[in-house]
Amino acid sequence: MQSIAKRDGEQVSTANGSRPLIVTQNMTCGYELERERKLLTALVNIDLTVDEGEFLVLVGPSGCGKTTFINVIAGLLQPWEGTATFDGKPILGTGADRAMVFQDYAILPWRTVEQNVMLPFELRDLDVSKEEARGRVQAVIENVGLAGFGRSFPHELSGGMKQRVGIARAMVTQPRVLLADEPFGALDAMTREVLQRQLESLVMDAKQTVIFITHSIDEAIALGDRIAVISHRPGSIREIVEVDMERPRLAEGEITSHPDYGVLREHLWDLVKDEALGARSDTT
Amino acid sequence: MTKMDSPLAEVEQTTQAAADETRLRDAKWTPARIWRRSRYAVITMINLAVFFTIWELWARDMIPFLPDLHSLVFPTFSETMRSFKIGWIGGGNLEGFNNKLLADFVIAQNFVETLKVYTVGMVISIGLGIPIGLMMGASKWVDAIMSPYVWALSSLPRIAIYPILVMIIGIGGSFAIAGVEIGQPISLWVVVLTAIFPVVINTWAGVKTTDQSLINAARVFGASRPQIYRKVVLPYTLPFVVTGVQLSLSRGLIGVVLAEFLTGATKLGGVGWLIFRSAAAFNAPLTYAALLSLAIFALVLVQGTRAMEARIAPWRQLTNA
Repeated sequence: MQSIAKRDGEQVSTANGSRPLIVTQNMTCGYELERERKLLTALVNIDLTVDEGEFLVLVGPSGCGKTTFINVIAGLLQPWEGTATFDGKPILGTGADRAMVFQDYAILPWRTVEQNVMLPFELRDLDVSKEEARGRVQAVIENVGLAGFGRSFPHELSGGMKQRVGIARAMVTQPRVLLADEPFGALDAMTREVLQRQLESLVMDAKQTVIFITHSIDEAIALGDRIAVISHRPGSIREIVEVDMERPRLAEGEITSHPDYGVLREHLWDLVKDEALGARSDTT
Repeated sequence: MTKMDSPLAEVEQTTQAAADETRLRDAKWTPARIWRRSRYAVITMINLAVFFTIWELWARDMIPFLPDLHSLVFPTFSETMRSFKIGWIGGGNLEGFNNKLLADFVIAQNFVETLKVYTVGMVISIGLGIPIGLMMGASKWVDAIMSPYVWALSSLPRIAIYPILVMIIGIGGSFAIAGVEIGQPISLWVVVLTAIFPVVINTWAGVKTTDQSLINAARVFGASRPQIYRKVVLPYTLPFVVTGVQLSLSRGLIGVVLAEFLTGATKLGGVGWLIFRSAAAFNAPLTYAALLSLAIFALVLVQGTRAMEARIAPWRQLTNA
């Protein structure tokens, strides 16, 4: 903690000139399995820096601790050892500057689309007037392509539209970082592609910082500036792969025709497969 | 975020337009739609008409292959309806009936007695059951302390406690609320003890099974513990409470009728008492008429709570349908 206090306010610049927003140092974390009454270490010694405006993708085998990482950044979990800081300050709890999109949408079924998107304003005292909040809710609903569905209930919407609600709810407070835990994992391929494209244009417009978990290597290459491959449990960083492709990558043509695509994909595939096999040999 | 203009977004919109069109077409009163809307009512009416006709013919020994039951124990439908009419709206010409138990308004009067105890018992059961269930769901301590009693009492056949209640509370006497005489204390105890547990257990289950990812989402967006309860756990639990109330309404009805069977009033002991007493006196039409009244009441109750469920938790209708 003390070393963090020293870092506070220090301007660490990286090669591309942007400022580190999220820094974890030597972070080890896990959670309690309540039923089995034991502690499970999910992540060990994670040193990771996410710059402002960066799109970081986490890939790795199931149960490797990707979600744990995102939960620490969100403030839902505290690191056991090491530190996690956001904008120079240790992460002690949730905050309006960090919003999250969930794989299972996690939108409230008894609320309309509007009411769901309104939720962050209701829960936090954000110094936003009621009228302004309403205006922002309407604007973000329109932006994610849900115009006309404001008064619909989630059970009247398709999976893709439900996740649009999830994205709208996360974006409505204009957070500094968007945390996405396999947001498109439950969607069909077509809807997935539409939402990926939409997310990319959002990132380009707003210079949004994103930490994004996925199981799909194609999705990782399509979206990420960097891709962190996490090893099998307990997770550590196996390798960080830079994706040096210009954006927009999805707007026109197939990203698969990019000259770097094949090599990158094969490299990532080998890493992830290696880790997944490692995970299997550990458990059997 | 820029607006979507991909062809795939259009696919979604076209699907929506098609759905709207279907809805519009369905809104016109075509013969097919009238039939679709009314078929259950029509089938039910035919069904009941057939049932009552068979009853009538059977009681008159006009169906050869069905066993011959004496009219003392198996009245005709028309006799039953006559008792029903006298018992509810009076105007009875009592000649020809074998027992003076059947007086004008006798069913209505007894029904009021039953309803008073039942209503008070249900208000207590729901009013106590919901907070107990919520507290058990929210606090591990309350859960640990309460659950042995709740589970033991809820799995016990409630009528087994009756002798103890008789020893402690005794039979007879009466209690009043705001000057209105309600009924025997023991009946109220039986109703509450039979009806409270479904409410408690269902409420508890609702709190316990609240979707963890909804709670996590609320936490991420800044919910405090009280906010999590108010904005996530309580709305999530509401349909469970409705299910519990539904169950407890029918359990409570069993309780009140059972209590009336056993309390043995001298007059106006409730519908349960009337059924028991008239059967003992072999006034079969009255027994059947009282029973029929109870059945109709129970049916209205169940259908009413079903409608309530549909209004309170429309999102559950789709998954339950």
